[in-house]
Amino acid sequence: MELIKTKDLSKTYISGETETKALRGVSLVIENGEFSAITGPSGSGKTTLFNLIGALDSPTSGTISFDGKDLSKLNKRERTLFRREKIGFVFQTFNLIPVLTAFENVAFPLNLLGVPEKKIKKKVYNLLEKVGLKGMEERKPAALSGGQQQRVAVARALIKEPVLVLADEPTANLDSATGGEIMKLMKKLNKEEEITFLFATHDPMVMEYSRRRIKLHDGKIQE
Amino acid sequence: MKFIFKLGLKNLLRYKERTFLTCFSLAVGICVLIFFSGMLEWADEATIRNLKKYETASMKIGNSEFFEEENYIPVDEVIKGREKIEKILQGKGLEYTPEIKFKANLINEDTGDSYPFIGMGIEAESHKKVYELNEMVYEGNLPKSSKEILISKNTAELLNVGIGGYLIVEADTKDGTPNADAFEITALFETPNPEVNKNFFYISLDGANHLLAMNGDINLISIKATQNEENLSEELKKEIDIEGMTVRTWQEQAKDYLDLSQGKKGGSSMMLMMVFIIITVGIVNTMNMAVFERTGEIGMMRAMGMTDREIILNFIYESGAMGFLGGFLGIILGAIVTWYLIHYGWDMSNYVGDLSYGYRVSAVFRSKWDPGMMITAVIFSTISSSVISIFPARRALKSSISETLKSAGKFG
Repeated sequence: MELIKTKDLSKTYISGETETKALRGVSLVIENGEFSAITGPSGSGKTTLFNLIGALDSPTSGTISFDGKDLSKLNKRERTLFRREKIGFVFQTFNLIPVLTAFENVAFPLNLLGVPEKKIKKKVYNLLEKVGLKGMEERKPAALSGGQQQRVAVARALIKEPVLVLADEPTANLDSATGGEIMKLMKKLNKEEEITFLFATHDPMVMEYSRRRIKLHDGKIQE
Repeated sequence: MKFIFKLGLKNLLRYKERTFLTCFSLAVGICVLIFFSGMLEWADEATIRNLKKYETASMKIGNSEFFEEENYIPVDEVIKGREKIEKILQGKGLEYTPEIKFKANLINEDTGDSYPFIGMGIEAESHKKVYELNEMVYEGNLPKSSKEILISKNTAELLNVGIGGYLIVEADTKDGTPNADAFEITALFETPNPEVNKNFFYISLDGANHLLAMNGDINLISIKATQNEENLSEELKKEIDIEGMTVRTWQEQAKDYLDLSQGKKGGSSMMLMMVFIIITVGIVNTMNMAVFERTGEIGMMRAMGMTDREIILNFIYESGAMGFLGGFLGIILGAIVTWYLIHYGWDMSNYVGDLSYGYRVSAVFRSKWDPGMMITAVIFSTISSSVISIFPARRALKSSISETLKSAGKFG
């Protein structure tokens, strides 16, 4: 079943008199439950495509639909609420909130959704156990290793049971062993929770784990 | 929104030193505000008290011509119908005292020093019931015999005389003839009203009558009011009904001071505004830095679905809490300063000397509790800090999410 469908998707950035065509007519379909990677060299348009799929930005032309809904027609607030409910993000440098504990960081998306405290507690403890962080709930990010921080970030992305997780270079700041563990964890969650994962990467290990690779070059798909 | 509030509070602890310094500068500003406000309140209250106790009484009855030219003190503008006036005052059960106010030079014959003063001819017994000068007299009493003079400690030092010494009082009589007489210093006074200390001396009513050839006339009757001064003044004006006679309340007599006080309050408000501008700059700077340093984090929170309103609210809570803490600390500092001033005072005599700047207070500055000002300061500090944080937060939200994430090097 189609989750994301882009048609002739283009994005042009204008800076003064300079035009940069980041995406040039990308047409793509991502199915539900996929575990795919968008690859390509720097400047190929990976991040731009991610931003458009994640409703962080709007296309210059073309359409992008998510579960049949045209994202380009959403206003700012609707896009925010869409991200809040449907998308989980995993960032390259984890991006945890340093003043919050592991538990509070993971609970953050649920707080935004207004989930009752009792339910949050139960869900967060369960998920932290699942990602191997039992007993570390009260630790702040500074007291966790890079791998542990990325596990917290993965748990934060998954806690609200999103339809899609967008992970940008999730292993870039981890050693290969820890990166492998994180990928295994995400693959396991993809199977168990049936959550669609989409990676932007040039890490061969991430590509290896991915079932499908979408190659981008100069803003065009070369699948 | 409980968690946004909680996050705002936790963010305060992110940069403890910076938070402490901002709170402390805020506290110092609030403390200065409380200090000045308390001192001005005290100065106003003490001035009114000291005016009434030593200078103006509650009100005075006199010739309207006398009041109009009061700066020149025309001794010939005397009270008419004194008997009728006294009957009315007695009928109302009011305490009053007759006075002769005049201009004079005090001369120390030994040294040749001579200075201009305001002389008051007073009737000791009734004066005590209207004024409190008698409580400020040491080593003696109010002048009773016609050859006694009461001067202030300041005047004694100025003229280099002491108790038992003599001063020549030189003044024009009612009909304008120069006259002089020697008076023995029988006592000294020192009131909390520096204007009285600097400018006044007292002789008995008889002594003044004789010196100025008043033929039993007086030019003022001072009254101590036990009811609303304005109402009493209106009543008296109607009842006295003698041509040329009028009543002047202490507010009318001290109009110059009251105008000056209002002007000073305006100036003080400007100063308080300056304090708040300094506070504002501090908070803006701190919040600007907080927003700048958290650009990536703001981008992440927006990506995760936090609305602009929620992000602004987060900064409002953080800044508001800082404003509240700073204000609260300021109240504590301000309370300590106020308590010290109330109990021990701040002796400014070395700095201000004899200058009173219109206030009838001594050079030992004190303060007054002003809980309203303290509460207002905390509320104002909390609200203004909250409002100020909106601007840097809004500016951060103007950039696109992808840009903020990119600039922070966190995504892509």
